[in-house]
Amino acid sequence: MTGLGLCVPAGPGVAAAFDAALAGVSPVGPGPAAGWPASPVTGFDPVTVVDRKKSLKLMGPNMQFALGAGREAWADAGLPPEAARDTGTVLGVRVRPGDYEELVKVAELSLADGAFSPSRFASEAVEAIFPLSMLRNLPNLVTAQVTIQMSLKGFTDSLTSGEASGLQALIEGTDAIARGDADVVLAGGADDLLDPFSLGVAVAAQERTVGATRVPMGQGAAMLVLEEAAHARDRGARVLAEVAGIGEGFESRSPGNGLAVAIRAALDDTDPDRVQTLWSDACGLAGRDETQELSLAAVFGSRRPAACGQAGRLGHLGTASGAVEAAFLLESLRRGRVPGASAVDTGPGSLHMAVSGSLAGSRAAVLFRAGAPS
Amino acid sequence: MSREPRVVISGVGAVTPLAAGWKPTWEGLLAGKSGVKPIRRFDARGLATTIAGEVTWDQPQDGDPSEGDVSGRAIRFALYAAREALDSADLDPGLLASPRVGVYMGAGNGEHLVNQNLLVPLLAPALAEAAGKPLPEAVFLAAVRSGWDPRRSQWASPEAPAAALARLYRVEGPVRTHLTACAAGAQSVGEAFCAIRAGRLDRALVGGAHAMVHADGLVAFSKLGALSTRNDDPETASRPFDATRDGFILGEGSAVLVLETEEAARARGVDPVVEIAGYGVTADGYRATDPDPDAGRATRAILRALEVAGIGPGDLDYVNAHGTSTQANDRIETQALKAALGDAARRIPVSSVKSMLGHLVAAAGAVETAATYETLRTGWIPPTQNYRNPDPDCDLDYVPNQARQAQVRAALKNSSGFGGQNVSLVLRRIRS
Repeated sequence: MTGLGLCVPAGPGVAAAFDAALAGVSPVGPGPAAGWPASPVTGFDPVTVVDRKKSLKLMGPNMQFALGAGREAWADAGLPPEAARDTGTVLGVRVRPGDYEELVKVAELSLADGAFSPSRFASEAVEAIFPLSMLRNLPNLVTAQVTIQMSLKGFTDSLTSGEASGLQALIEGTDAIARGDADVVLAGGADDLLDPFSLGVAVAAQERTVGATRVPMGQGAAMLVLEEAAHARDRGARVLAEVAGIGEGFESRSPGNGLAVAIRAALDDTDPDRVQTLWSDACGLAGRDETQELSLAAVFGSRRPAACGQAGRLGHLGTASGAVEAAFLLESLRRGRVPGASAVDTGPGSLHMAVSGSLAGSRAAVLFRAGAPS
Repeated sequence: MSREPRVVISGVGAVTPLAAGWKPTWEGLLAGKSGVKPIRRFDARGLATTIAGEVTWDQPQDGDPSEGDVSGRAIRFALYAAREALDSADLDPGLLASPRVGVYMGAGNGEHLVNQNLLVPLLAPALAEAAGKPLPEAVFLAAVRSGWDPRRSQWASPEAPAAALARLYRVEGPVRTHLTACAAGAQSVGEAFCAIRAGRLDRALVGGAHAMVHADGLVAFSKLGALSTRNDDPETASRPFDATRDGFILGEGSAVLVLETEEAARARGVDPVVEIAGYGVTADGYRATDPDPDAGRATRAILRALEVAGIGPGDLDYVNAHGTSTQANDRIETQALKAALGDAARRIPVSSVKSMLGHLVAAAGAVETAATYETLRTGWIPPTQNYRNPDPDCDLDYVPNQARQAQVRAALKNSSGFGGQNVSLVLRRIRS
């Protein structure tokens, strides 16, 4: 791991976001959904990260956040421009519903006598649709816009498995390097749960789940530079950590089994007691977080790693969440300081884990070993 | 490298515009039948394109019947295809309940945002109350919040088909959904291939499922000028590589394949015939809709797949093309094939089954991988139907209008997608 980028609430960049984490600053405030808190990205000007201002016409907020985080990660890694051509790009993304104004306009122009009218849709609503609307909202265009804007032309993929997507992207990026498909991969996740449609859907789901609390809905992105060890060494890059293990699972057998499978796969033969910190995207999300407790108890027993996840402070960041936790984890290794925890070993060779999971059941875990590979 | 397990295809299932079932689909492809018809599931009159490759079947609803025809249509396709794939692999579904089994599916924009069935009814009361005045964002949000049925997210979101398969078969390993648009089906095959080859999995259900044949889907592609408008001649509208091609035909469906290590297949008494041998992926990093005109990265994806398979262009006997029937795609794909395969490109038959099925978007690469598998298994190459007028820029052997028998030892499968994703797979016969 040689570079980090964030575009998150209480940030937007890595330095400010981590300072806010150390200080315990909460970005959560009243949101657009009445009575429901929100966690927005503030202080981010997308014009500063695109090649031309015109490009923003084709980029929804999630794409802008991804590009902001991607540019910061690239600069942080100190990669030369000529590395771009063969660099891979893998992101965890979510389908964006479309722009609120257009959705309303189309609905309005499709109505006749209170119901959908195919003839009005064809004759009037279609005209109101921005010709390139699809490109603003296609999920793979989040990744593609990063590749286009940054001229990254290597391996690429876009994954969606709810909140597990970001760590799945990290895992796939690791795989791509291990099998020789790339020397460098920019991997992470991006989401925007604050557009009115997504927010309405997310809030509706939580409101109707028994035992749900009001989890703040948020937005943002995290991007991480994965690099083949010899490639990083040869160019004298500063290495924050190596990926020491990866694992995925699915909640199909019994509650908590999916994450336990993922963590055990990431640990492989490593003694669970050696894991110093655990960065989970648990934020109180009903229907998911309660199973995580069962998983951690099954794997770690009573000797839990220090719980350091930032999701409780930042809120629900959707398909960005796992990658955001990984970025905070890695920054804690760089700084030698862990938000909310003391007497934690962050020195070379120490082990740290990020975990995340989706409401649908996918689970992912990544184990990091601090410092450069020996 | 030699210790890496061989990854074989041991079963295939599909739901396509030609048939519910892979066997009748394959028979239809060899017979040159078209699944493209005037749209029947909804009133498409007045839209620029009124024809599509629709799945028309009488299968029972797997979702809540109250949700009608849009509750997880892609899920139902995937469940059907998976059942058929398991049967054809002669695989006990109980063997899927393991951490060493994964599900990798290509998917795309789901059906949960379809205006006709969801958004308009949801917003109708608020719009009526607004009486022509602009609808405030807060009112829009409140309408969604109060009217949304959360179960719909589970039924109709892109990750739903993969999750449904994993839940049904109690899969405990990786469950991934690839969202790389028209390349997603092939990418799911490639990523599962890598995970099995790396020794992390014994087997996986892989493929794609997509149902975009609805008014919003048609309009979105129409607006980009991507669809054929030959509404009066549906069966010949999709004409990949033909000089008169004017866009693709939107289709829907699913294919699911069982991938496993050769050892796992043999251990349960199966004698596999075809393996996945290579996989290459690149990004154009060029434009959102247009492929890079120099075809350099598409070329690189093909070369990488060959490299992973450890073979050269001379070893290929067939290319199952992406072949969408758009001007740009077919020209650039031809250019990439010539650049990657050199002189061999002139000898190797290239065909596109989209000429008969239409473009199944995120499921396309999966269905076409199934077709490539069948070509290797049977020696029959499906035709590029509707190819009549040669295009000087598309000057390869496209197997026009007639299936062909040949000895096919290794084959290439290309897929590409909006945003510049290029995916290539190499499939190979294990035994003669």
